[in-house]
Amino acid sequence: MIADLVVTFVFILFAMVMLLGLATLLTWVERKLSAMMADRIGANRCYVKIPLINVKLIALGLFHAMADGLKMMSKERFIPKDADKFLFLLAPWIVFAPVLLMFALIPFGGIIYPEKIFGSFFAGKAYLMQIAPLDGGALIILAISGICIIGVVLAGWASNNKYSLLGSIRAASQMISYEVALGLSLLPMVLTYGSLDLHTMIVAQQGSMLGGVLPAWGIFLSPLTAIIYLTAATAENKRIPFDIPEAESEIIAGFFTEYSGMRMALFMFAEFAEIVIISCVFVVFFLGGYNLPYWDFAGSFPRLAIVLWPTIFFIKVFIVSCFQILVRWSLPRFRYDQLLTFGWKFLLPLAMVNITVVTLFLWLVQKHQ
Amino acid sequence: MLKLHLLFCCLAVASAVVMLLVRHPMKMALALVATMLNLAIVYGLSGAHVLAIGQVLIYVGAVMIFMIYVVMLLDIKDSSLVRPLSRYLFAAVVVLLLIAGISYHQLANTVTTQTLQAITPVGDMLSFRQFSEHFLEEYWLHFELSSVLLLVTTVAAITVLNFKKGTESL
Repeated sequence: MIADLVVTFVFILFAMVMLLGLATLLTWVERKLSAMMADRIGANRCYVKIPLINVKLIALGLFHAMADGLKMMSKERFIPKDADKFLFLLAPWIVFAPVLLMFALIPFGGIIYPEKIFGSFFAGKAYLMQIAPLDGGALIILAISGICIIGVVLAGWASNNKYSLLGSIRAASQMISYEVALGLSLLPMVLTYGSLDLHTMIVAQQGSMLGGVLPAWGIFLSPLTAIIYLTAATAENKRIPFDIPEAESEIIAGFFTEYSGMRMALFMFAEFAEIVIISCVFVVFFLGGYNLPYWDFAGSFPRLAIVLWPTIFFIKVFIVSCFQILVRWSLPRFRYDQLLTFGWKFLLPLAMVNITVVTLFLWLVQKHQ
Repeated sequence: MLKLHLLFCCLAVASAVVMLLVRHPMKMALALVATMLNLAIVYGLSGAHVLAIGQVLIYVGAVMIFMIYVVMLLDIKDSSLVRPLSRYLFAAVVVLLLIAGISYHQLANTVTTQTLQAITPVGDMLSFRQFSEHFLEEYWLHFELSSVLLLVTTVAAITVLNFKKGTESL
C-alpha cells in the first residue's frame, strides 16, 4: 500500500514537473520560433548577472519566462466593479484544472519493476508508468476536456464586459462544434487498435508494417485521422487559425479581457499546457508513444528503459508541440462564419467518411484473415 | 475507500442543496455541475467507470454546457437576483433539518458500517468491453432507434431555422 502510494506520488510529481516545465519552455519556443520565421532575433534582453564577475547570462533568452512570471505576479489584480466576484475568481481555475487532470491518463513509459533498482521495499510489484491506468483512457480524456468550456463561458460572463461576453459566446460555440469532430477523429484509431486503453494502443504500435519499411504507427496506418485530430484539437485549444474567441484586433482579448496579473497568466498557461496535452495524445495515438521505431531498446537495456522511455516520449511531445507553434505563426485567422462552416460542413463530414472507410477496411481485413 | 465514498456522497448532496438555495440561474447551473461531478466520482469509486464517464461526458460536457450557454446568452440582470439566497431560506433550513433528523432516526438503527461496506463494491466491476458487449446485445434496437430520433430532431431544428429566415426576408 505504502509502496503504491510512493510510486504514484513520484509519477504525479514527475508528470507535473514535465507538464509545467514543457509549457514554460513552449512560451520561449513561441517567441524564438516566431522571431526566426520573421527574420528577427527574438527574446534576448533578459539576463541573470553572476555576482562579483561582470558576466551576464543571456542563455538565448530563456530567462524571459522567469521575467514573465515576476511581471505577472507584480501586476495589479483588477476586478471590474459590477463583476460577479466569486465566479470571476473561479473561472481561471476551472479552465486550468482539467488540463492538469488530463495528464493523469497519459502513459509515459512501459511496465517497470522498481524491485530491481530499489530493493525489497517494492517486492514483487510491477507498475505501469501512468498515473491512472484506466481502461477507458481515451474517453476520459474527452470527458475531462469538455469541462474547460464551462470556465471559458464563466470568465466572459462574470466579467460584465461586452467584449468578454462576445468572446465567451464565440469560444463556447467553437469549442462545442469542434468537440464533436475531435471525438469522431479519435474513433478510427480506437477501432484500429481495438481498445480505449491508451497503453494498449502504444503496445499495438510496436513493430513494423509493409515488410519492415515503416513502423506500425497510427500516423502511417491512417494519416487522414491524424490530420483531422490535429486540426480539431487546435480549434479546441483556440489557437490561430482558430483564435476567434480572443481575436485581439476585434474584441481585445475575448473572454479574458478583464483579467490581469496571475489570473490572466493562468489562462495563457492553460493554453500552453493544453498544447502539451494535445501533443501527448497525438504521440500516444499516432506516433507509437514511448517506443522507438526499428529498435526495441527495452529488450536490450531493461534497466535503462526507466529513463529512456520518458525521455523519448517527451522529445516526441516537444517536436509535436513545436509543430503546433509553427502552424500558429504560418496561417491567418479564420472569420467567424468560416470557422463554423469549416467545422460543421467540412471537418465533421470528413471525420464521418473517415470512420466509414476505416471500418470497411478493418472489416475486409478481418474477413480475409 | 469507504470514507472517500461517503465524503463525495455528502458533497453531492451538499451541492444539490446549494442548487436549490441559490437564486441566480448561473450559480444554480454551476451547483448542478458540481453535483454531477461528485456523482461521477461516486460511480467511479464504486467501480462503475462507464457510468462515471457517461455522467461527465453527457451531463456535464453536453447538457450542462448548453444550459450555461443559454443562461449566458440571456444575461439575466434582474433586480430580484440581487439577493443571493432564497427568501424562504429559514423555512428551507428547518425542513431540511427535519428531513435529515427523520432519515437519521430511521437509518441509524438499520444501517451499520458492514451494510455500507456491502453496498460499496470496490475495484473494477465493469470493464468497457463487458459493458459494450452487454449493451449492444440487449439494447441495439433502442440504440439505433434513438439515433434516428436524434436525426429527426436535427432536421427539425434546421427546418425551423430556415423557416424563420424565410419569414424575415418577407
